[in-house]
Amino acid sequence: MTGRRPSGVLFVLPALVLLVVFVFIPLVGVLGLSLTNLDLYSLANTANLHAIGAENYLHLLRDRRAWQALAATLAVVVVGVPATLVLSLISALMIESIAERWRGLFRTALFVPVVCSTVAIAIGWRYLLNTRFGLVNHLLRVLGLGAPNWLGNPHLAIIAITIVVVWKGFGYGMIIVAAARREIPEELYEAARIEGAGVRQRLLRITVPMLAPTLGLLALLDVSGYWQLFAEPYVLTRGGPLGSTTSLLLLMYDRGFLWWRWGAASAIAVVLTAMMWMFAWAQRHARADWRGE
Amino acid sequence: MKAVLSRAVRVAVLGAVIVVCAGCAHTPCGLTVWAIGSEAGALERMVPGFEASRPGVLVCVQQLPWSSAQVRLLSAVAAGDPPDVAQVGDTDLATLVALHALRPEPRIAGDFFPAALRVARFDGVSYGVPWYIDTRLLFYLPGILRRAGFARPARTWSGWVKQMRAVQRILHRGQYALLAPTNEAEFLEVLALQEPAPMLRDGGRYGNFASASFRRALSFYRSLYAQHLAPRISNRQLINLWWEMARGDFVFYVSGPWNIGEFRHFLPPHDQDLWMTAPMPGPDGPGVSTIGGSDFVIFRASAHAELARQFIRYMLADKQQLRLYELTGDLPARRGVWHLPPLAANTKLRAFRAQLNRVRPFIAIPEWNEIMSGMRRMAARVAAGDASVRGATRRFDRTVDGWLAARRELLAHAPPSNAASAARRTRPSEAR
Repeated sequence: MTGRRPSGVLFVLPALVLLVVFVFIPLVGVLGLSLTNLDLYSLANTANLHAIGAENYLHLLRDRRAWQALAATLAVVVVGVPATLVLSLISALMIESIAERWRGLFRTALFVPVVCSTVAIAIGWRYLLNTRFGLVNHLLRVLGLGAPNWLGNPHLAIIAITIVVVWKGFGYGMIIVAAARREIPEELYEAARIEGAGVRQRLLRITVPMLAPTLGLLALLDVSGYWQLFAEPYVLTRGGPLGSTTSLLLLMYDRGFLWWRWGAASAIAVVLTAMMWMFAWAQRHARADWRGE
Repeated sequence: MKAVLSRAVRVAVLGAVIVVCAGCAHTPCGLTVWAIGSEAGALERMVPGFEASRPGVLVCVQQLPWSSAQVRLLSAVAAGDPPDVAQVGDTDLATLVALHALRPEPRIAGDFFPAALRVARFDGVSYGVPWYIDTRLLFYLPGILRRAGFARPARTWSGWVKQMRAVQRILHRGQYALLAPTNEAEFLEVLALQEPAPMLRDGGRYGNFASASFRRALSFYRSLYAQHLAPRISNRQLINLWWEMARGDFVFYVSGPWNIGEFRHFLPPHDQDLWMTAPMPGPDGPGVSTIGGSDFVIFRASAHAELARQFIRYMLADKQQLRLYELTGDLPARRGVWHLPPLAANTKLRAFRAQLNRVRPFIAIPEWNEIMSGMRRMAARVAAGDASVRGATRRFDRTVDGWLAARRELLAHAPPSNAASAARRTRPSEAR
C-alpha cells in the first residue's frame, strides 16, 4: 500500500478522463440546464432562453406527479433492495447445499433472468399477469384466491413491478454471494460444530457476518440500480394505472423527450442523482457504524 | 512499456481517423427521406419507380420507429442536419413549424380532404402535404347488435347508450358492450370535439376543460364505466384485441382505420363478416370525429427542394396512393383515389368516407400532444371514481395553463396568431 508510484496515475488516467468527459462534465451541464427554462421555444430562438433560478425545483415541490413518482420509486427501492438481498442469500446458500451434479442447472436457471433483455422479460410478465388469461391468475383461481387485476389496479401494479424487478435482479446477487460463501474457511464451521453450535447459530454467527461486506456491496449496487427504474414500468404499464407506476426516470423521460421541457427534466435528473448519493452515503455510514461496534 | 504505449497511440489515432472520415464522407444520396414504421417499408418499395423516371438520382429512405420519430427529427433539426423530406404525424407538425425548420410549401394542387389541408396550415401558410389520413369511428359486431334488436348503430349518444344497455343484457359475465381503454385519449377527444366549445380558449392560451361543453363530454364518458358498459382496463391488458372482440368480449370499439388491416390479419376469412364499421354517433345526430394522419414536409435546410417536391408529387399520384393503401391499409389523403376500385369496393371503408367529411381538426400547437396525454390521465382518474368531473376539470385547466405559460409569454411579444408564426417573427434576421 505504501510504495505509491507515478505509473499508477498513468493506469488510472484513461478511466479518469472518460469519467470526466462522459460523467462529470454532463453532470455539471445538467445542473446548469436545470436552472434554465430550456424548452422548444428557446430551442427555436435562443432569445427565449432565460436563467430562472430554482423555479424548476420549486415547481417540482408543488407537483403532485413528481411526489407520486418519488413515492413509487422509493417503494421499489425500500421493498425491492432488502427482498433482493434476502433472496440472493437464501438461493446462494441453497445452491451451495445441493448436490454438485445439479448445482450448475439450478444456478443457470436462476441466473437466466439477469442476462435476459428487460423488455423481453417485461413482455413475458405482461402475459403471466394478464387478468383473464394469465398463468398467475389461473393458479390463484385454482387455489380459490380470486383473480386480481394486477396491472390495472394502482396498488397492485406497483407490487407487480417490484416483483418483476426483484425476480430479474436476485440471480446476480446469488452468484456473488455463492462465490463469497466459498471463501469462508471451513475451519470456522468445524470449530463451531465442535463447540456445539447448531445450524441456525452457524448461519447467523459465521455465514452472515462473513458475507456482510459482500452484501453491503450488493445493497449499494441494487440501490443505485432500483432508483433508476425505467424499463419495467415503461413496457409493463407505461406508468399507469393512474400514474401509480411512473418512476422518477420515466417522468423525466416524458418531460424531456416527449414534451421538450429539458429544463424541468434536468431538475428531476438532479434530484434523482442527489437522492442516490444520499442513499449511498447513508449506507456507507451505516456499514461503518456496524463494523465499528 | 514505451513500445506498447506508442502502439496504443497509433491505434487510437487510426480509430479517430476512421470515425472522422465516416462523418465527412460524401453521401451519394440525391434525396434523403425519413419515414416512420410500416409507411417507411411501403415507401422503400415505391422509391425504385421514382428513381427510374429520374436517371442518376438515388433516394435514401431512413426508417424511424413511431416511438422515437419525433425525438430524432427534433435532434436532427437541432444539430442542423435534417433530411430533405420527412413523413411527420400531423400532431407533431406544430413542433417543427415552431422550430422554424420547415419550408413553406406552395399549395400542391390536389383533391385533398379539406380538413387534412387545414391541419397543415399555420397562420395561413401551408407546411405539409397530406399523404394519408385517418379518423376515429365505431367498430362493432352487427350479429350481437341484431340479436339485441337493432339493425344498425344509433346516430345519437342517447340512442347508442340504449343499444349498449340492451347489448349488455344479452352478454355473458366478463363481456362488455364497449371497449374504451382508459389509456387511450382519442375516444374522449372525439366526444369533446362533438361539443360546441373548443378545448382551449383565447387562441390556445388557456385550457377550457372546465367549460360546460367538456364537462358534458366527460360526464358521458364517465357514465359508460359507471354503468358497467365498459371495463376499466388499459389496452396493455389486452392480449389480442381482435380475437377478443370477435369472441363477443366487446361489441363496440372506437378506433382508427389501421384496425381494418388488423382484423383482416388476425381473424380467419370466414369471420370477416363478424365486424363492421359505422360513423360516430353525436350528442344529437351524426357526430364529428378527429382528423389524423401523416404529411410530407420539406426541410428548410434542404438543398434539393425542387427534387423533393417532385418526389412528393410522385408519391401522391393515384397509382402510389393505391399502392400505399394496398401495402399498409393507410387511407389516401386525396378524395379522387377513393372512387377507384380497391377502395370503392371495400364495404368497411364506406363509414370512413362518410366520417372524413365530418371531422373537426385539433388545435395545432406544439403542446397539444402533452395536453392530450394529461387529459387521458385526468379522464382515467374520473373514470376510476377518484375525482369529480367538476374538480378534475378545474384542476386540469390550471395544469394546462402552466404548460401553456411559455407559449403565452411568446405570444405576448407577437401579434395574436399561432406560436409558430410568433417564433418566426421574433427573429427577422433569419427570414427567407
